[in-house]
Amino acid sequence: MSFIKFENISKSFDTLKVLKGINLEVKEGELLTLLGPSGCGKSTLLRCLAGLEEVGEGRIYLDGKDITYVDARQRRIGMVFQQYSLFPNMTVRKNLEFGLKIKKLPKDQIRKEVDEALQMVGLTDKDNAYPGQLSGGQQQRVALARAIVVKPKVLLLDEPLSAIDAKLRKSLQTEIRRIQKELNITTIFVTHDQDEAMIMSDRICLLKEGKLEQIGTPIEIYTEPKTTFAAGFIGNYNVFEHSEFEKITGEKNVLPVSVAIRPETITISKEKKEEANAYEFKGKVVESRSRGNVLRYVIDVNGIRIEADALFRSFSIFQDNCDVWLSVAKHDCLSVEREAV
Amino acid sequence: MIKNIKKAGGKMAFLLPLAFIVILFEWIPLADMVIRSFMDGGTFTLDNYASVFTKPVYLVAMKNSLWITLSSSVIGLIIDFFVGMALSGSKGKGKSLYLSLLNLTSTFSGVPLSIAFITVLGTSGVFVLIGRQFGIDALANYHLYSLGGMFVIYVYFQIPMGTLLMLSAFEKIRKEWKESAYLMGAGNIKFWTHIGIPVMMPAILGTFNMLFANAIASYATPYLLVNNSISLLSIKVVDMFVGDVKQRPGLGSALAIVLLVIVVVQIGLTNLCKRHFEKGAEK
Repeated sequence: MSFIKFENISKSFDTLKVLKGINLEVKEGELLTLLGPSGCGKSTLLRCLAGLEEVGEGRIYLDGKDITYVDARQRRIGMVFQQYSLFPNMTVRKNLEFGLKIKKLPKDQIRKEVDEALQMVGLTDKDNAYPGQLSGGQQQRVALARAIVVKPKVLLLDEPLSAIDAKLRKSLQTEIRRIQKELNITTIFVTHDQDEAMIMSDRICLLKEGKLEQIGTPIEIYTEPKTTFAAGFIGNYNVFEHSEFEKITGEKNVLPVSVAIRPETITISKEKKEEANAYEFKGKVVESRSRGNVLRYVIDVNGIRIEADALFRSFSIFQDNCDVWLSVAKHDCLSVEREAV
Repeated sequence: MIKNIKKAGGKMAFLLPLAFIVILFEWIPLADMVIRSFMDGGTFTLDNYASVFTKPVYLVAMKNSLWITLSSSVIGLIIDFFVGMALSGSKGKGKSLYLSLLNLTSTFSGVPLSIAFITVLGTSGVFVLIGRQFGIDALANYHLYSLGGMFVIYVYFQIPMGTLLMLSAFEKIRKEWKESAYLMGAGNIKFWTHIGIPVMMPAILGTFNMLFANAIASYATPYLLVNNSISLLSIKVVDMFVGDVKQRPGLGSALAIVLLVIVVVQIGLTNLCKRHFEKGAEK
């Protein structure tokens, strides 16, 4: 049974329709990521659940209760914003105490709960610091502690790591996931970063222009994109019209729909491999880009550009303008729907 | 290092004209006033200060000045706060129109302002006549040429400048703070008393400093309305230098120094409070 249920949610700002009939269910204790490009409505959907935006049409259910028109203060939802959400006039401890004092808990219990939350985010030594004295990463950890200390039913994370540098971001991703699992708290995470979504989520919900594009586990979304948009957004797939794919392979009517191929499923070699159940075609290296342990090649095949990845090893380095053979297993050529433009 | 000193010296040279003006028109007159306040007929004396703190006429002037300054600053500040709050939450043409109006009225003071109030609330002012016509006693009996009557003008000229200053403080209040507090169960009052106002307090106190100095030093408006019928410190200071009967620059200087000390003490006190609230300010 679902813990959170969005039923046909629509929302407009003036004439702009931001959410267009979203139906989505979130299970208890799972971390669901709302993923999509800027302006796709992911933050708006989150804010509708929090009660910070009014729903235009549809219903929202939390733990079996209709909360569509329940005041945000009564929903028991904790939220971490992109940045700058800590109260600057209060120390870290006072920030955490704020929500508990509103709940009128006894002093001893407040102290205990705050200590536990600070310990959970590893900031016990910063309890008397003001937000202005903390780094961006520390501030977001405090914001997380403040959101969970009140024991919310749901935790909402609205791009909480977008303003943090890459290295720290990775460690915070792991930390957030650890805390979420430890507390078994139902969490909705918003991001536009597909790597972040892949690392952190139980399930990913891909949104496009206010509509739900695809939902599934990170592996499902990555390996079985249903549309060209999903293929392009999640796995940096090569997406071809069937006519383009025919031009590449030199075969007629191979697949009657659009085809998506992940760059890492393409093998590059100097010689033709003559493999069974694979498409093989010749191309010319246009350029190569290093992505750490992987080299990404852009290869021209009959006037169509294909991206292919190869592990950074001496025998897999090909110079620009060099002729190469590309091979891709037939089962790695996925049929995808091309959405109407 | 010598190069650095030379570089710093070069930059400081641009400040010389300002330093020259400050010394010539502020520090030298101030020093002259301090010296004069201890002189009478060329000899050193404490009589000027003794007069200021013992003669009822000056004590009343001090009391009146402090009353009208403090009350108009506090009331002005409260109005500025709510107008600033309303403005910060609004958008579009209405806001820019109101801001233009505030900019315009913030420069409308002194004699023109007094004349405008005389036209509206003077003995034969428009509203007073309307009050008489329709039997509205509060308007019909309004006495502009009194301390209470002047209070309205003082509050009026505090509003535009104070609102403009307060508006920039409201812009610093982040939506995320309100929403976080709201999700934790706090209502508007709790947010403003625990977060909004404490965060804005340095700006509120800074605005109060400006309003206080603006009101206590105000001269043209009260002079035109009440002249000497109501004793105010600023009017007394000028009287001692340009008085029709007898000029007493020593006593005038002592009064001016007292006025200056009042402002300095007030600024010092509010700055102490400001420091308390600035502790958590974002770096």
